[in-house]
Amino acid sequence: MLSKIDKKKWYSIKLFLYVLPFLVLVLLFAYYPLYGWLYAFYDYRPPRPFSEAEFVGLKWFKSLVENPVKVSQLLQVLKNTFVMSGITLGTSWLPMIFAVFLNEIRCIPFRKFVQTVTTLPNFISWVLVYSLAFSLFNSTGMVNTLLLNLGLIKEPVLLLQSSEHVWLTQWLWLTWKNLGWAAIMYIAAISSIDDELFQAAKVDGATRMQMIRYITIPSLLPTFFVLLMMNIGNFLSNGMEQYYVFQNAFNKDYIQVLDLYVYNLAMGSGSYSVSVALSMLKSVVSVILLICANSISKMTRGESFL
Amino acid sequence: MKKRIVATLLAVVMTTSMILSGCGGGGQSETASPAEEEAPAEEAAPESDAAEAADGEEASTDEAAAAPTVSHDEELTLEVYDVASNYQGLQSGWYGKILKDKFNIVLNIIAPQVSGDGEALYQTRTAAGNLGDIILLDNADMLECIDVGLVADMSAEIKSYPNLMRYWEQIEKFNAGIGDGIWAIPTEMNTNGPTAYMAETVSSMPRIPWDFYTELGRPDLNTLDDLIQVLVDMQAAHPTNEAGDKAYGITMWKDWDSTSIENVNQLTKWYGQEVNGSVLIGSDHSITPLTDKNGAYYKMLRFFFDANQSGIVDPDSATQDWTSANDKMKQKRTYLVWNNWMQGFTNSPEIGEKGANYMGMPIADMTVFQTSDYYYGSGRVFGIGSQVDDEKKARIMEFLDWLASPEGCTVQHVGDEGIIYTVNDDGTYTLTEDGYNRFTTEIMIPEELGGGNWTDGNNQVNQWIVQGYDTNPVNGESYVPDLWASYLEKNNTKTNKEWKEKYGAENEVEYLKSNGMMTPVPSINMSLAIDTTDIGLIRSQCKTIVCDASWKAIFAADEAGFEAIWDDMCSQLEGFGWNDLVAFDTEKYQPVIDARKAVK
Amino acid sequence: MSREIALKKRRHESFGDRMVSVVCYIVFGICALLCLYPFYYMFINTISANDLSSRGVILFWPQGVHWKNYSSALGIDGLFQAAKISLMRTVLGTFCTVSASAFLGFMFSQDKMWHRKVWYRLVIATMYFNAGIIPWFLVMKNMHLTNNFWGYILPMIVSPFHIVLTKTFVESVPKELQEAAEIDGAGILTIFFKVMIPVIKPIMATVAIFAAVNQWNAFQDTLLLVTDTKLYPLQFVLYQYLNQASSLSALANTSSSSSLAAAAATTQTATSIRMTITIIVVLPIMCVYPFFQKYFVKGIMVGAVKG
Repeated sequence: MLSKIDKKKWYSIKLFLYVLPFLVLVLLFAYYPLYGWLYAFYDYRPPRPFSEAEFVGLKWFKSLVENPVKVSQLLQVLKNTFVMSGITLGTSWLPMIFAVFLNEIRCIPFRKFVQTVTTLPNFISWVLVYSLAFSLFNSTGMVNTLLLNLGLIKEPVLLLQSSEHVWLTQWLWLTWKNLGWAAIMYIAAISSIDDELFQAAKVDGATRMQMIRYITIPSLLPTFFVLLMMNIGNFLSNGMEQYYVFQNAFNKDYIQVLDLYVYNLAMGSGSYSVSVALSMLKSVVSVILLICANSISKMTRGESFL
Repeated sequence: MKKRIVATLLAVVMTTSMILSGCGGGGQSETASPAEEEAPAEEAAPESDAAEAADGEEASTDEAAAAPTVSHDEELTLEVYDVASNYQGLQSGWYGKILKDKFNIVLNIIAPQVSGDGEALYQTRTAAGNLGDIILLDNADMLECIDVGLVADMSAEIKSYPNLMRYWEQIEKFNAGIGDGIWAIPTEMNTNGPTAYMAETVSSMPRIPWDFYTELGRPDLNTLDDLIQVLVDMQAAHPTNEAGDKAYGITMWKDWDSTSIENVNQLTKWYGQEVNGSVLIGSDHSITPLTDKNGAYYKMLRFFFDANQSGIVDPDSATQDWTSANDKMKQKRTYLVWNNWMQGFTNSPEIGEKGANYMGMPIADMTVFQTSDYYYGSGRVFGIGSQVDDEKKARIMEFLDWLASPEGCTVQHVGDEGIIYTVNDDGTYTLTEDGYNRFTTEIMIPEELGGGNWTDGNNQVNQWIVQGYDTNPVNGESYVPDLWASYLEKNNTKTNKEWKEKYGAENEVEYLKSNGMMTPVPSINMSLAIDTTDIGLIRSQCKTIVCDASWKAIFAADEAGFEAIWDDMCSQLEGFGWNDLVAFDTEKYQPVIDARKAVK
Repeated sequence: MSREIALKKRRHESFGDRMVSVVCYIVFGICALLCLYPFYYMFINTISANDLSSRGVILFWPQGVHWKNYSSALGIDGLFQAAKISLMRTVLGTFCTVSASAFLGFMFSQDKMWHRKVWYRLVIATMYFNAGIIPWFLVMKNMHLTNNFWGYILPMIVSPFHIVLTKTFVESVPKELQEAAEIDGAGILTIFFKVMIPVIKPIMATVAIFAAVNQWNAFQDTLLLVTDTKLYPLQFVLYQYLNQASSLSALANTSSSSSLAAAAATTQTATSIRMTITIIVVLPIMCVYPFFQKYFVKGIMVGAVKG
């Protein structure tokens, strides 16, 4: 009896030993450098050595909210961040639907063509996306010329300069760039669905929409929820490149998300500590969000992903 | 259960980071220790006047030991940390070949500017204690690096290098501000004296196409309103360029903005003030806040607003980048440019013969701000990394000395003899046909001279110890072709002749000077205060406010809108600590002003 | 046989089913067009006369076709060596990441592992941490991973995102599969290699695509870690050309010599060259996707267990 428990214990340790080397890598590359978070509480400015840096406590965190003007700016930034992340989260089912319906296309060459072509935008850097956008949407660009010739508008529309619908247009750009790429995961997941289920459903006379609804989508939900969780953890991180290239004086109020704000703030201030402080704050918030999302998932769906 | 795990997780994170931070601290102090050893003694350096320096020079050349002979048998790769470069990688092509043949060295350039995240590169490399073998930095950064022991002292060696010693006065003056030793060599020095201005054009003034101006009957320009009227008339007469693309009086771009809009900053110089961070520095040695309503920033912002009201501003200005704006200049789709180097895109001897070059237009009420040629240096300095050994250091010194030699300067500022220029009977130089076109077309270099095209093979360090306007002792002309007799003759086109006739002066500089519209401000090279973190944060927040408000003001619907945006900007800035920033900048630039006054 | 069934099916397709088909074709056709056109636009602009493309008149077909942009971009020094490094790090890095993700994804699904959840969470949390570049750089330096090819590979091996993906997939595999093998007396490694790998190929292919693209596109690590030009990857060599325009702004304030300033200004990269470079960089990695698509095949699962 004892030996059986020992054996069980030994087996569980053995499993752990298999992953141990990888855990060492994680500790080395991800956890060890975390001592750098200490810098957040100092005024560390390379090349001055850290030993000369002055301890400032929570100054950098406080400086974000030290007076009403800054608070109101930060609130606007947070609002933008929440809206952009909210839209992205709210539409995170799109890649799944994309994959599901793509799978319904029977003509294999066409399907593969669409599959491949829709990943193309993912490879174009945001800088270049902006120059494409500018050449198509500027006052004498293709879109304006076309609309003018059709008589739909009287004066060129300066889409890139518009302060209206900024959130929507930014979301459209993002979706255009990511949709096909994000769908890859679901396309892979679809291929793991047991074909027998479909055969059985067909015998029962199910329509295609019924099969999608009762077989395909439920099989994709685990992947969907896991990705959703991870995105919730990233709620504060919209990335900054896209917004950086599209920002201008007229849309700044709506386009400045937290990452861009931090970049605009820390860039050129020469202080290493400020950027560490802000990224540390974000890390903590992310982990908290992740834990919350995980508990909610546990309560509502009965399973946690962590 | 869950709570416990979270707690464990946090505990693990915290303890690991605590333990490891201890180790990290150790690593830090390692890099810190040489700093303390080498920290130069604080010492008030005596002001050395020119006479003393000249004495010093003579004395030093007398007693100078010959430079150590170094062996070139072994190929040496030098890492050059270069804030001016637009290229990262090995120096190749014709210039690389010269360095290889002469010194058997290869330059491996590290260019924070093109890396996309230069700040990160600088911070990590300095934290690790090694920037490079040769270091080119802005004055203030160099001072900090010297202070923490990243830079080597060359006082023991420098006197043996005659070419560098020709600029001893400037080198000594800069290093006197640091402390004991010679740590850094300023760039862009010359021997023409501290107040000389050799160029034929000023940095910024209105420049418009001469042919269109002629069509309008060459009206006199008395105020900015006249300039706007001329541009309005031009745009009415030529709404498109020859290819049929829409043209505008003025086009701007957004991606060069700093603390304030760069396009406006350049124009403030027309009215005697230069934007430096949050303050305006005047030709009259005044310092005023950027937000001063009587200042040139407001005035020129107003000019753009008025221009937009007259319908001559490109509607894409606020969204386009430099590349697009530059294309418009090249295609004659914009009728006002300002910086002298922009004429490189609009002018050529052929266009000039047609009378269509863009020419500088003095406005009667203008007083142009212009600094004299860099004499003491441009604000960037060369240094040698403290980790290099003596042998390597000797080879670096030898290389730096060559960079300051007439031969080296000619190679850097002009190019290969035979391909880019030829030597006349009297010793002066003439550009070859390829030489004239070296910036605009692809010039192929023969394989035995390094191969590839001329531009790729050009000196990628992109910064010079000696300025191009310095006089070449070999033939008495400047190093850069701009002032060669042969070059001026070729550029004396129909446009220039007509311009001279109208204004009765050889060139715009002469006109401005003789009409009391410009007195070059002495150029000063000193190390200015670096932003503290607090000031840095204020600056980055204020710059967003200023730039955004400026753009909005230019495109404001009406007069009231313009004023409202400006006032709103000023009150917002106050909340972000603008006054502290102005106070800091005023103090920061005061030494410059004092030094300028001292030159007079 | 299957084709016969398919044909029969088609005849029996309801009106609704056919509508689904039609809508799918139209919508996906539009999607494909929207994604393809910008790329096509870039391509025709790179091969059209540069003065026409800078005027913005090349919209539907190329004019004044020339390949000079490509020949000059391909003539950049050290391009071949850079391509070699890129290829090496992509192949090796992808192999390591895919193997590690598959293995860890599988291991972390083993309930019996000692404190499994702790380790799993420890790994996942790193996805949201950012320690800052200086400590990271010093760690890499102390491990002699600066100016070292392995600096590209080692930090990328454990990739939490890919582990999560794989683990989710593994969990969707019927438990019977592993249990059957265990009853046969197979050890954990045997189960992984003989039973699991054949089943999780689709997700491994997905991870491979992601990892390959990550490795191919990475240049940030090169920027900080590498000064040895022999180790520069393709992305890094070409990336600087995308970056040059921004570095010009400093020029506006230098008045020293007009011709020199203009010279520096003309060395900035035209948009058409930037587009050329993008196309050159993207094309090779684009081939990865179709290559791995063949692993997205269905129908190996429960049938295998029951049989």
